[in-house]
Amino acid sequence: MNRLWSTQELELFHDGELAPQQHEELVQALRGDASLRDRLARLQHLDRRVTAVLRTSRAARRRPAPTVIRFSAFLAAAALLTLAAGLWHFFPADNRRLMDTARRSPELAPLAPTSPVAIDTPVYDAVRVAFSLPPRPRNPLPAREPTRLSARRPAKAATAAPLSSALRESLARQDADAALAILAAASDAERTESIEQLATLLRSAATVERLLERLPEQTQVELCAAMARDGRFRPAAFSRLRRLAGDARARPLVAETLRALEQDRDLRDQLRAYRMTDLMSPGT
Amino acid sequence: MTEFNSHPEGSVDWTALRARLHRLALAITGRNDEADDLTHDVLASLLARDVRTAAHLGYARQALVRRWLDQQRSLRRRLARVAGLALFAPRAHRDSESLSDAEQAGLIRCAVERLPLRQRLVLVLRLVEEQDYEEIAQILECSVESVRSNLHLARRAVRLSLGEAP
Repeated sequence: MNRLWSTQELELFHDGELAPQQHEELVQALRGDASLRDRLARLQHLDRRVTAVLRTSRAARRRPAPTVIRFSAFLAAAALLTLAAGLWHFFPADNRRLMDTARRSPELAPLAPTSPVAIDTPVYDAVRVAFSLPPRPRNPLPAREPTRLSARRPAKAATAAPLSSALRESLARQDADAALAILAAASDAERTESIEQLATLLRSAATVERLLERLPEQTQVELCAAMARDGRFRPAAFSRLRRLAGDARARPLVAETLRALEQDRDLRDQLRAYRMTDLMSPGT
Repeated sequence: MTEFNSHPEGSVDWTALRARLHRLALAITGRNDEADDLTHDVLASLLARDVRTAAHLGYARQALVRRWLDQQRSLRRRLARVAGLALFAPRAHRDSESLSDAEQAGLIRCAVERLPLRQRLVLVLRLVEEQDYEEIAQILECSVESVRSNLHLARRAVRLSLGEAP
């Protein structure tokens, strides 16, 4: 009696994952059963099709535009060219005609030298209007609504906003001294926040390096801790922390900061990868 | 496990490694730009650990698959994927024999994108990377039985999308 082979068994056979005994049985069955061979061939064909599709990107398989669209585009381009050529020839001819009229009629003769270029045709007006629309003034971004969290903490929200804008302005002027003065004048909570803003605002690791050179050690460590959370600045931050750890005074603070960073699950692997775990002990 | 250090001076053949990873990423994501990003991210994270680790194709392949899974599991990505599928999914109204090659390819691509993440990965790893069930189970950290059933379900879904018998 012929056994019924399931599709999954055929797939396993095709993948070479069928158990040896079943494999032998299926080979025997394939010799005598044409429909089974056909089913297996269909599975193999589908696998080949899927593999071919998966190895090509969607962009590579983009279809060309239909013929109608291509023909319409050609017609539109030809019409535009014709219109441009017509305009080119129409206005000088019109001007010449006016000048000739003026020369022939004595009452218009005095006006001829100062008469403007004839632009009173409706077509020209439409073109002129279409191409000379004044640019719209940019709408300033609407003021950001306070989030629910900041609404619950009005004191912090009120102090954070002016500090942020002042810092932003000083950085826009590339005035590092002003930015540092703002940081120095800020309270502890504000300083942490502004340091995080600073790390976000500065887009270049080299700029951050230059700025770090001018900061006191404690602020450097705080800034590095904020920077370490951003992948772009992480190498610069860890490199600076390593250098700071070489200083006996800063070493305990660096170790404490690194231990705090280690609490973050995402940063734990990074700390290990950069071999910062060696610096977590406060001693040398 | 393949190691890409075939250069005479013993240096790593990064171009070949990158090409292999890009092929896998392209098969998984279906888009060149996403494949570029994924490959770059994986190579960068592996290099941050150790050059010799990064040079192992098996390890790099596993890292790529896991990174993509992490990305896809975020809520935003999941919603975007579901919305995209709902908006743009074509349907097979005709027999697969009467479809053109391009139509079939579009239906297959769409069917693969509609698959659950694990089924999609199993299908790609089996057909594109030609990994056996044991290796796929190792990469996805699941059992061989799970690989077997996921692969069967994935193939079944593709067959159904083309209007063939399950």
